[in-house]
Amino acid sequence: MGSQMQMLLKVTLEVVTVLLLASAGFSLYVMLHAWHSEENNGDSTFPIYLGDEKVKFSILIPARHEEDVLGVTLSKIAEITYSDFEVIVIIGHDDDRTLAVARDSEQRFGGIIKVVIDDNWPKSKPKALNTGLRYCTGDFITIFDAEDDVASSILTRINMTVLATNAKIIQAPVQLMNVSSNWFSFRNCLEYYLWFRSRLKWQSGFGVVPLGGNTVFIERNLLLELGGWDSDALTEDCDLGVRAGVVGASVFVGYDSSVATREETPLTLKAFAKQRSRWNQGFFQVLVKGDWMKVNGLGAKAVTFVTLITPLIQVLNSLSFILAIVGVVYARLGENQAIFLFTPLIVLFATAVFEVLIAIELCRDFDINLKVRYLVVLILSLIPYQFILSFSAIYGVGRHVFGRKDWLKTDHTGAHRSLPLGSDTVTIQASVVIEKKER
Amino acid sequence: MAVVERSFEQVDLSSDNLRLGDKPYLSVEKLRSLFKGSLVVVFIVVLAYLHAKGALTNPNPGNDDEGTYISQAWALIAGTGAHHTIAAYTYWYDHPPFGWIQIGLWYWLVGGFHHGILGSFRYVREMTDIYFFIDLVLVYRIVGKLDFNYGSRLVTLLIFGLSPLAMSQLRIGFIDTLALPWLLAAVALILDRRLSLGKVSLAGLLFGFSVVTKETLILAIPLFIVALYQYATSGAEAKSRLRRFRIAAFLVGLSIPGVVYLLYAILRGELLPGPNHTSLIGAIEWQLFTRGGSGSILTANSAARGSLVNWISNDWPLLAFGSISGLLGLKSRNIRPISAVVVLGTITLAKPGYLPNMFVIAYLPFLAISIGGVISGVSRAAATGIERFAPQSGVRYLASLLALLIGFSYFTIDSSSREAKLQALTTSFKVSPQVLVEKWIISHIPKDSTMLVDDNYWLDLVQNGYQRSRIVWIYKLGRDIDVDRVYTKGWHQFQYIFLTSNTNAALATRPIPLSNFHTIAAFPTAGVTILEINPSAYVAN
Repeated sequence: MGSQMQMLLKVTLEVVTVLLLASAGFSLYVMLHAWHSEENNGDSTFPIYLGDEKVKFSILIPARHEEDVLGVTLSKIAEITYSDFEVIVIIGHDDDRTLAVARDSEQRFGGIIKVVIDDNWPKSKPKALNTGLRYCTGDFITIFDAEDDVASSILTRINMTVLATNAKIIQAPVQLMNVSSNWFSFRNCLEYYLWFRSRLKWQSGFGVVPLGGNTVFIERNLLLELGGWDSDALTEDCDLGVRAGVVGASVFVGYDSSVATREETPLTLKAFAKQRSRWNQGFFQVLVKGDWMKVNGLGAKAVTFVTLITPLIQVLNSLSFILAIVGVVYARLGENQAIFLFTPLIVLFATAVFEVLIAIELCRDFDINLKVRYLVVLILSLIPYQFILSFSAIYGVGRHVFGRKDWLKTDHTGAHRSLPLGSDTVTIQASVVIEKKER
Repeated sequence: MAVVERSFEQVDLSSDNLRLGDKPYLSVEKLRSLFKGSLVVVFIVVLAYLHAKGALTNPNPGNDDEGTYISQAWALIAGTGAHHTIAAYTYWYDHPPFGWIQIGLWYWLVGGFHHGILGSFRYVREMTDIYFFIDLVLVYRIVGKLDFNYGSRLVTLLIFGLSPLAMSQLRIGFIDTLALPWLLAAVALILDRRLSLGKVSLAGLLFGFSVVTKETLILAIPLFIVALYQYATSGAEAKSRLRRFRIAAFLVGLSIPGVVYLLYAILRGELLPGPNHTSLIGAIEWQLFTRGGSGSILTANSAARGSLVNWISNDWPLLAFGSISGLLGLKSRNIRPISAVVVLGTITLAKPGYLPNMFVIAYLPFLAISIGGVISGVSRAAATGIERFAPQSGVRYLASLLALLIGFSYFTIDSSSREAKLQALTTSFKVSPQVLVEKWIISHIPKDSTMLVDDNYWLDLVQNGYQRSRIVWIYKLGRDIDVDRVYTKGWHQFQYIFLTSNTNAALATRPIPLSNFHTIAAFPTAGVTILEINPSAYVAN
């Protein structure tokens, strides 16, 4: 090999290493934000004490082929301990079975639940939401998905948060619950926990928050001002967050496990990869759309950019392993710099150490009975999970580049509901609230 | 951009918002803190100056470690290491390399070794002078974090800075000396009251750097364990949840330099012992088990006893009062982390095993801080007592004054001996015999000669024109793959031998029949004899 080629190889490897190191370091940093200091660890809760109901809420529930889970969801939402709210269920014009379930609930909880038909084609979540928006009369609008387990105290807490903070947008946590369904489910649950517990809070410090798909509360006037959701967006939630950031809407990100909306991880690897591909494609779509460039402030712009290139960061993080293999070969050639190629992997292993600690926190917060087996699976799944994430990232971005923009929908079966649901769970959640108040 | 950062429960009610009227620009308080700050700067500068005064010539480079490390650094930056680029000869994992990497960085920063007689020593002694300045600053930061009263902070600086033991040991370019600022910086960080995860991991990383400079500094780990553990002994449940993250962050930081070192060994295929190569595990085995112990301090004539006697004769008050203060300090929550390391050090000292003379180096600042802690506690208690009888006398000032008085009485102990030692350290020119030796060699021995030398003189000779492949550390003959490949006939191929106390130690384990050599020069004051081989025994290469 010529010395010029050798030099080129050396420089390329070093640049790649720096890139991977930055990516792994950044991921670790935002992951640990909630545990960085006592302040970060404690200051993101929602106000707890009871006050006057001042805010009227409109709950949007878009449902498509969700006849198995929708009924339970609606009856739980009807039991929310707050008086001034309405529920608008949006059903596609071609989905009779879900419609039947929705109509049944509409009759049982007369006055609270209203069913609306969406006849847009092709179907998508943002289109359904925009249809529902036209029927909303509340001051704040929120979304729940058809399979969500919603905390009964949520509206009370959000009402107080609105009064206390004057925020136009409030994001409350969502948590996947089925930690032991399959080899990747614990990791997936952990990701949600980190996203809502740590990442979004960090993000809110910069004024732009990629909003979650549900349990997000938006002032109706703001939503109308923004023109509702982008019908073409695959991640309409993230898109809305960026656009709200552009107009400088104040966002409050809170965390309290007792108000978290509980969901399920996809049960099959295929479903999971599909969901991820959609998200990655959605983020990429928002990036290409370019609204983020209109965000005020260089820091906010940079942070939004880094958020939207999440697919790329996932690919980079999985490349660490390949780089380490290159490092072994490189060392065999007698190169002393080979050690440098291992540094991203070292950061990734440090990440794994903290993941175990955070997994313990997750299980404590959500009263999950943690077994050693789960942790073993968590550690072993690190590498394959990274590769699936990067596969989905490449697939998602590839879909966008080749112009396939239809909706890859996730199916729901209700795996997070293996616990006895209904009134029992509601009582448990209420008692958690009281306990926290006393502390 | 309007972002709601906190819920209303955290509305800021701190004094800043409630303050009535602004304070004048130059208040009495400001002047006072300016004065206190300047006084500290003066103390640190004067102590650093005294430390540096005469450091280039005293103590003389007795033990060959200093010369070894300088040569390693030189090989590293000159890039001419034979088998490894991180050592002058085949690197055999005797110590992790970060010590001489620092010397190399210093070279890169200030540009080049001094040439001339004993030039390499001058170079590394300048470096340790600056390190001592950093040590002083960090010790002051640590006693601040430990909440000592002002008088006690100054006294601690004096006890450390005016210790003849500290002055003589910390001038020498031992890797322990090079490791110390990293350790102190880690300690200053870990004692921070508003500790974030970032700071904890940085503290771990700094401590990790000190350990890959001198591996024995891992013995300071109780300090960090106690500090991290104490964080949550009085507090909410949230604190004990955070504690786990902190311990993990510390351990992750600490292990990074070690993991890189381990990787170095693995990637070179030198982790496990095997034929024809050195290995990390092999070296650890040797350090822990095979290497001859230095006996017990309870045995007369043991090397350990010798070290202890040397330390005691240099500064017994620091050792005696420091260890006692360490024990007393265990009772105080504030200073307990420091005490933990002092107490463990004392126990290690008492147990037989390998106890090198420089073992004491890492403990010196902690011994001084322990004494300062007792002085701070006693003076504060006494001042509080006095205030009860004479109210409004100002506890803080009284305590500082008392601390200075106690400090003064500390220095009256054995004061004439301390004065004499400091006098000698700051004025006497100790290395003149070595200068004489080097001058003689340079003018009498041809530059292309083959010669077996003491590590201490090696780099100077190379810098003065001798060929690095032809002058060989006497230690390496018969023990280094690369040396033995070139010198297949062993000692027969060397025209000159350089005998010092260091080379005698080497010859004790691997004898060379000196009857084949004759003396051509002797320097009794420097302890050096130079021999030339008899023509009949010489085999040219």
